[in-house]
Amino acid sequence: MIINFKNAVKKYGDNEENMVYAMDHIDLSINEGELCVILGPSGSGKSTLLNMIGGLDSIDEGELIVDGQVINKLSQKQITEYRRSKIGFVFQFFNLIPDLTAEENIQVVSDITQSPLNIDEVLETLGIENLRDRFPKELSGGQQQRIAIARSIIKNPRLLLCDELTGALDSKSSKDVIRFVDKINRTYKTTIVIITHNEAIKNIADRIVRIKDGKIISNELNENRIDAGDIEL
Amino acid sequence: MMKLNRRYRRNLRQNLSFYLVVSVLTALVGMLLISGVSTGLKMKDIFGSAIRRGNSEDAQLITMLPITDDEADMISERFDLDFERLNYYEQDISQDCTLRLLGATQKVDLHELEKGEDITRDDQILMSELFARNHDYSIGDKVKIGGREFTVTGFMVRSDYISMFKEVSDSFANYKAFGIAVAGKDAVDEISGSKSYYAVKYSSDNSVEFRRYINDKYRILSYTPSASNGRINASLSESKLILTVAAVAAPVVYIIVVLLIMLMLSRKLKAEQRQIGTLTALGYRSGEISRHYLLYSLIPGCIGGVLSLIAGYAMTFPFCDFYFGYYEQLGYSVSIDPVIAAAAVLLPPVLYSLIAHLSVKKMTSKNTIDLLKGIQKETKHKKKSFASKKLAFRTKYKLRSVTEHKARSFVVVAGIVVSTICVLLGWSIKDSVDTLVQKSIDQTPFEYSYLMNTTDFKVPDSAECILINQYETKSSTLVFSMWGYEKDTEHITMKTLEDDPMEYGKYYMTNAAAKAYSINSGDSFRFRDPITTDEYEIVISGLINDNTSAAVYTSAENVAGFMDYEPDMRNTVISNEKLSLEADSIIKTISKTDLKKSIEAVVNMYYAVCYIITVIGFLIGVLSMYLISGMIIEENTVNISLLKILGYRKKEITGLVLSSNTIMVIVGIIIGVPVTIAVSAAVFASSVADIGVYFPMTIKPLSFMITFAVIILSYIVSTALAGKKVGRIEMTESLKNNNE
Repeated sequence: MIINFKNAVKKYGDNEENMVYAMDHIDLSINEGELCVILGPSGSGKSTLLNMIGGLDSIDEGELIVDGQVINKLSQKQITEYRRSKIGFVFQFFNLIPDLTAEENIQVVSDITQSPLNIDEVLETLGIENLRDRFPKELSGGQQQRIAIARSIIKNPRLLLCDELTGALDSKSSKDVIRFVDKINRTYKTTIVIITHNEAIKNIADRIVRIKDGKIISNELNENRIDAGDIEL
Repeated sequence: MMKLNRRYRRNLRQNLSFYLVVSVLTALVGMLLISGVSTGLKMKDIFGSAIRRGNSEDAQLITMLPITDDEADMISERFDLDFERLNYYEQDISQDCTLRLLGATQKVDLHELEKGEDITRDDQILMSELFARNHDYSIGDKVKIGGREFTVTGFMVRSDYISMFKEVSDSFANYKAFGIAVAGKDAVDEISGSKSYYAVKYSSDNSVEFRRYINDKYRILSYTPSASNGRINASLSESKLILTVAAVAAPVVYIIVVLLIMLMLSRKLKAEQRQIGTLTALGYRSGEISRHYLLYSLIPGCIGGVLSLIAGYAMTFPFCDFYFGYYEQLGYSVSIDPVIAAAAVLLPPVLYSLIAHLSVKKMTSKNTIDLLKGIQKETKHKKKSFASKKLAFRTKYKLRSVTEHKARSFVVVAGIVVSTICVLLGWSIKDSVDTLVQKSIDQTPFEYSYLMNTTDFKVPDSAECILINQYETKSSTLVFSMWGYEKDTEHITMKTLEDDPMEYGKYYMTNAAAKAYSINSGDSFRFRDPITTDEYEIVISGLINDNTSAAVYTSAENVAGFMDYEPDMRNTVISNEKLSLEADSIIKTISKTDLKKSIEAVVNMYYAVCYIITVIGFLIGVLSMYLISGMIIEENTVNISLLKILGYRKKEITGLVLSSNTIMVIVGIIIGVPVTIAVSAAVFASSVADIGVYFPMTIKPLSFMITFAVIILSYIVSTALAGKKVGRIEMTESLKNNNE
């Protein structure tokens, strides 16, 4: 396995009376190469879980091991290196740098990667090679998200973390984006974790995890994974 | 990093006005600092050098008995010093102008040829160039002096006449009324009515023995050390004053403006927090992010620094022309002080980069998720939301804008304080000099005074006799006069500051002297005779409202006692009319009209300074307010676009978003006033100890109104310029709001 949560806890509050558990003693393992979809309503703790994996936040109790590293024991400097070399992020609202073109936004990450993928290939794979010289404000949401995906995979990460990646998109764009993510998983064998509240997306997953109130309700392997092209969003 | 750095050009283009204004503002305050300090230092250097080269006197004295040139040589050898007889002849070349022809010296107070040829014959003279220009004299012209014709062979500067004062006690030069020329000593001696006095340059600390010897043998009537000789000292005092202003006011303005810019740069970086969060999430290290944002601050810092150097150097030319123009024409080349120049060039990029680094470091230490979401941590202080107050929403909006953005409000206030200091300082200087002219000069209790070289003289009925002597203190270089008047005096009738008449026999000090010596009414005052070095102590019973001279008034009998004179001996005549006294008996004549004219000449100089500073203050106000207003608009982009969607007009939006600044502008002016008063007081305090003239700190109501109007105008102009940005904000900005 590549991701392993052991009795992980993340809590907020000063005392037991007003304590809120964003992660309540979570045990979760995700294998290498899996496409894992984590489902749950708003406030269930799925974003928190993703942020822990990505090293953006830290657990209060328990252990988180990713690709052999005990993440909760790493220093800030080590966490940065971990994120730099192993993690690709796709955000709900794209988070592209507004005064850089599409290609330049991708190159922002390739610049700090030791062995990045070929940018032209990535652009072609995602069908956005004709957008390379456009600025984010000139692009639709779907196009921006594809650029954000390209930016996240250019470093050929061990893990691709997607936070509600279709949350800001229309159904057609969402379908396109899901298709690309699926393609990445199948082509590059990248371990992908998608958090979403959209039930339809679970159909492309190898593993479906449900979370509610900070607790894992279910953790199942999906025997009936379908192609993203067949998905109905 | 290379691709990330592509943002620079685009970001700079998009925010061109911000970076331009930061660069210009940095350059403006740097220019003030460089040119002010460089001018002061240049003056100090040039005048100091001229005084040294000319072997300028340490003191000049007038004796009752004459000292021949041979005796002077013998005294020089005996005391191992330079002692020389100086001679002169005065002629009124017009109704309002006196030319003093000085004999060329060999040891002390040497003249320096500036243009033309030096004198080689007795019928040749060298003239002060400025005096010549004011009276249309050229090299080769013939001038009749003392019944003899002289040819002007060149222009010179005398080291004891750097400031062209008629009397050593004068404070202001007036080339239209007085000037000097130099001829051969013998040629001056041959003119009937020529006079002599003596100058000494010490080489060791034996002035006491020297003075005692001269007094015992020749009876010293007056002894004026060079520190009290305005002709020698005024130029150095002026340079000191300029340096004080440059060293006090300019750095204050500079530091506040630089801090203001640093605050605005940090706020601009705060707006990048989402980008910073993204870069952090993508794996960029804190140092890489910091290095990227460093350049945004480095560019305007470097441009501003370099521009300040260029502008500062350029500005030093007119500053030097302006200030050197009031003194004898000594050649100089304009240069800027390397230390100040280096500071002005290097400080902005260093400080601005520092703030960028610290701001980024602060942000990267925050929770990355909060950065990505654009969340700003709630402060521990309770926010004043005014939610429950029954106020119009516009009022609440304005109040929240002030109270919930304390740093921003501070920046607004700081910018206005700086602008107020600049404008009001100039007008306070002008008003203070105006007050000196109008009130203090008019209080001089006579029109004419004649210092006699004998105590045996006839006095017309319309005149009055008094006894005057000069004294010094151990702790100050300033020499003061002690005036002994008659009990039935009609002229010396001044009142104290408490509006009480002077009691005969008690001691009363002028306000100028009191400020210079730090004396209050009732204090003991120790002083000594500069000739005999005998020490005395008196009690000052009150202060007289006279800011133009350092003096103590008492009974003639008291002064006679200090001078070891008979109680009825007198040495000065004062009158409201011009008297025809025996010229040979007169050492010095002072006219109130001449004094007033020379002061009025320098008041015009201060008017020019005042206008220049007002313009600079206005520019600083406009630029800093423009930056602040622009910053506020940027931080309210989403709100502004929403207001547009809701149907608000541009004027309504500008009024709502920017009008909260009005409160801050008023607060800034209110704070700026006492700060300016403190700075002015510091500037004037430094001048009284040097020249014995106290500029009463005055700011007229009109000056306050002008300052207020200039600041408000700068605010209106800057708001109008910044308001154009409101028009460029698209309505879709609020629809693109990415906050979850």
